[in-house]
Amino acid sequence: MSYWPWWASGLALAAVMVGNWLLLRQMMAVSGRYTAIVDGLRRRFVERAHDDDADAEMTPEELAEAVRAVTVQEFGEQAIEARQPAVPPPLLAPRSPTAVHTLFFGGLLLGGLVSSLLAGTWAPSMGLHGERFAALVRHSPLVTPLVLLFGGMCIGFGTRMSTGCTSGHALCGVSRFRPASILATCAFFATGVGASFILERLL
Amino acid sequence: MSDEECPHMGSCEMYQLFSFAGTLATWKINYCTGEYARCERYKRASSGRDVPVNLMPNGALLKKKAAGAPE
Repeated sequence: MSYWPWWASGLALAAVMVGNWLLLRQMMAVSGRYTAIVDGLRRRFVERAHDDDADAEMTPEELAEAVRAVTVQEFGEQAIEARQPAVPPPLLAPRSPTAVHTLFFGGLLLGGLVSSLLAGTWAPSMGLHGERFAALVRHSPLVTPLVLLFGGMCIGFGTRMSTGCTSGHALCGVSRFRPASILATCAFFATGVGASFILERLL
Repeated sequence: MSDEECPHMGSCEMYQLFSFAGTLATWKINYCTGEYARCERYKRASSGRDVPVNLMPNGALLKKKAAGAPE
């Protein structure tokens, strides 16, 4: 298997990060997008309309009044008066619609497909790469998806527990020198190297 | 006081509101870059629950003022 040159991958990732911020004004978060899709589906089909969100659709004046009331309630009148001149707050940033997140994941698939086609390595397969991994699941068409599903669940659990995945922590967090992200990234890579080492040696 | 900042700042609609409006910096100082662990939005997001867009850090929901309500 051949990979892109490291510098090309780095430039491409940086372009995606910056582009995401410029277009959506949000930090890149792949696992966060997945969560947003699940939340969107839950709101739509399970909880139906979210009553609280109806109140979020306010004019700037209504929003300013509502925020002022809660701010005074929490911190007192001086919290408002001490920070003059008063600037009316903008509208609450709308949630990125589920379609945007779905489009993002579609782009991931399309990008992988284009990259694979350009490299001439396009070969669809439902199996795991590597003979040792394939031997582990005994080439079973039933066990392989279950192993992948279990792996995906572990990733989902871990990213929720650490409030971010490799894109959120390693790309966005480390570049902003966030200690928690640096620690999380060290844990990601150490665990990955350790797991690979164990699998290579023991299988 | 925490020396960290909230890990959800990048995706929090309310943080963006606090950042744009100078009068609301008190919220940011006391919650987002302060004791964010007590923020209701943080608690909900961290436990995987849905976070209403109009939920304030102290748990209050921003609501439209009812017509005819006293000043």
